Amino acid sequence: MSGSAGQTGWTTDGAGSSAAMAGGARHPIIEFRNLGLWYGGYHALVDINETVYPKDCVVICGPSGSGKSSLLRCVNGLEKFQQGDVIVRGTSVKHCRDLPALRYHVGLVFQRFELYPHMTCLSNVRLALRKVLKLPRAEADRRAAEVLARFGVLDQAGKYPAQLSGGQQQRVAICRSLVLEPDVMMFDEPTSALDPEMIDDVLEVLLQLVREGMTMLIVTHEMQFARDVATRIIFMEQGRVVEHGTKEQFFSGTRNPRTRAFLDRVFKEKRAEERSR
Amino acid sequence: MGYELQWSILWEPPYREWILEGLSVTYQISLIAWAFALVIGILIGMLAESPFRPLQYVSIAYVELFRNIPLLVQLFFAYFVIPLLLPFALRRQLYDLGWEMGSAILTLSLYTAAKLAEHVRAGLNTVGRGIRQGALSTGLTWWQMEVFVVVPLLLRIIVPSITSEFLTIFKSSSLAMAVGVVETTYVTQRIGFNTFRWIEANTMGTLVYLATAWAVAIVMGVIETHVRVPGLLQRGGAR
Amino acid sequence: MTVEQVLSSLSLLATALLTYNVTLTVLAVLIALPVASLLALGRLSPRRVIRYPIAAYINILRSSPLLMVMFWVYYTFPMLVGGGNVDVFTAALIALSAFEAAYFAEFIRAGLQSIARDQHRAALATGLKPWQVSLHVIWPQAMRRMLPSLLTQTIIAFQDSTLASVIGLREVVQTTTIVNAREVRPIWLYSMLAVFYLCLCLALSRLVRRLERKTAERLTA
Repeated sequence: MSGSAGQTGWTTDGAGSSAAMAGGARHPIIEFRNLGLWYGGYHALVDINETVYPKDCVVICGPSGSGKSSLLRCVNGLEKFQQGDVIVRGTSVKHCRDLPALRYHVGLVFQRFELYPHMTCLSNVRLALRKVLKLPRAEADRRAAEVLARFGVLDQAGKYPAQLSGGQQQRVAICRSLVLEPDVMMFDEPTSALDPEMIDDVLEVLLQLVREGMTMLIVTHEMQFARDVATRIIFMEQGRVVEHGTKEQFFSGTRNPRTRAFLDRVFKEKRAEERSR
Repeated sequence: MGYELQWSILWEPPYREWILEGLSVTYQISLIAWAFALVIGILIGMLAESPFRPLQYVSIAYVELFRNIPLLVQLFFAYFVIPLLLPFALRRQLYDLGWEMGSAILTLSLYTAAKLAEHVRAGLNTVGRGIRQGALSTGLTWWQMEVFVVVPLLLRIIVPSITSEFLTIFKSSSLAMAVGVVETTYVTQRIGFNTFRWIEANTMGTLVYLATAWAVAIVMGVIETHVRVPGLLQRGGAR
Repeated sequence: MTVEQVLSSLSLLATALLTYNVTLTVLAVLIALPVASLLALGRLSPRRVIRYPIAAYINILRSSPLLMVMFWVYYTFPMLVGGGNVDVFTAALIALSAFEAAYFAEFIRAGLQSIARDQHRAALATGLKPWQVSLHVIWPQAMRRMLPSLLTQTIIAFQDSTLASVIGLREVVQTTTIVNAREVRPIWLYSMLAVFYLCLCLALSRLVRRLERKTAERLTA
């Protein structure tokens, strides 16, 4: 049972890791097994069965309220699901006894950035390095500065989040998760709260991460981006996965009427937007 | 009218000493009660947002209890009833040590703590779930999130509401005279009774409270500007 | 303690409560509200001659303890208006009204200012005169917003009415003390008093909260 414990130093629950050991060279990073989530009487996620492999770029799309954000939050245990399980790098989230340790290996970037408003950008990025990884001050500062520089926001390091533009704030939020060197990066509608001019900005960053080989799970409306960057696409509606497949299958070969309708609507809006610019 | 204002009477002994004593007692009661109220209030407020149901109920019950009973009634209850609940020996000691002031401080602390708990709860609501989730996602434990992210933010948010409670405590300390504490309001009335210089006495009393309010407002204003979180006006809070 | 005694004490307290505390609160609020509206408008007036004195009144009243205001009215005022006495109830009423008016004024002012300027401009743009805009557009919206705070302040005024006992009014707290002097059952009597207020104020604040929720639904639904 020692397989996946080696590199990341997690406490692995016995039940999950044998599955990771089996099979060929590709061990899944995230597995959703019969995942079910209820909010009171409302069935938010219905029998989700999906797999995410290393270096995948999975885009999750669908109308509002389809459960996309909840799905992401189930992965790092922020959302307590009632049915099924999520296996992350061989560890069962349901039985995980050390959620904080699991969480920093899975980065989550929020729609509204959720930076700490009372701390400078540098402190925002540095906090987890100091408190979770227990790095000494100098080392933490160095790493934080390094990642901020990598995404072009080092000169904002001493400023407070409110003094930055939306695009810059989102980049700092990405740094905050990335500095912990996660195995997977998840993005919950990263460009929805941004003005149009800044969307491309952030999409550039995402593209950079994909090129560097990061495994990504992105919830987004930006179908053009999905077409450029995704390896797999999952379409959700009312808590269910209606359609999933590779990019090619999805964009050209889909026969599902609901998916077609969604794509048509999204691309029509996009064309109208571009014409008016 | 035939009434000559004679302000100098306030400066003559023994009235001068009375005034100073009243002032000192008012400040003592207010500041000590405030210190207790802060600690208790913040604790109870945080209980309301804790993940444990029973603790939430404790918090709600506490706040409702002390908010809905008038301060004067609470004071009388403390002054008359609490000693009776103690064994006889302690009872005498309590009165000897000055239970008038003790009951006033106790009542004021618990009452203000309830008010503060409400402000804390509102403040925690403003902090909202988003920031908490953001912090947890970077691997912080619940404890670390509360101590390093939530509480510092919370304290900065509630400075304005806390200021008004601070002012209220000074005004409420006047109730202590109902159980015999020699504080500012009592002194003003005594001087009035003795000298029949009601206007001068009452004006002085009012000025004391006004001056205190003014000073507190200035100090808190400075603190508020200092700790203000840039960009955090009225956030929507939890989704 | 017999059931009779319990009931007789209870009825004494309840009578005192209704006759004095409730009446005092209701009358004070009825007086304070119109006065407060005028004060609020004065506070917002562009003319300094009006604005400054009114702001001064509001600030002084809000910075002073209610007890001091009661003493002012009961002992000092008669001297200023040339002798004669004011009876306790009237003194308490004047004091409470003046005091609450200052607080109400601030809530009303906040309510009025919370209505966005653009509402005002939009209404004027349709040709309405300023007084019409105020009457039909601003005040109705403002009233809905202020109602919860005004009601909550009324409940607080109800609690504050107990202070009249200190100047000698035979309201519920004073009655409790008198009955206690006679029968010496402090634990029982003061607990009953506390429970009275607890139940009443709890019920009232629940009502206010429900009202708040209903108006919120109507405005946002």
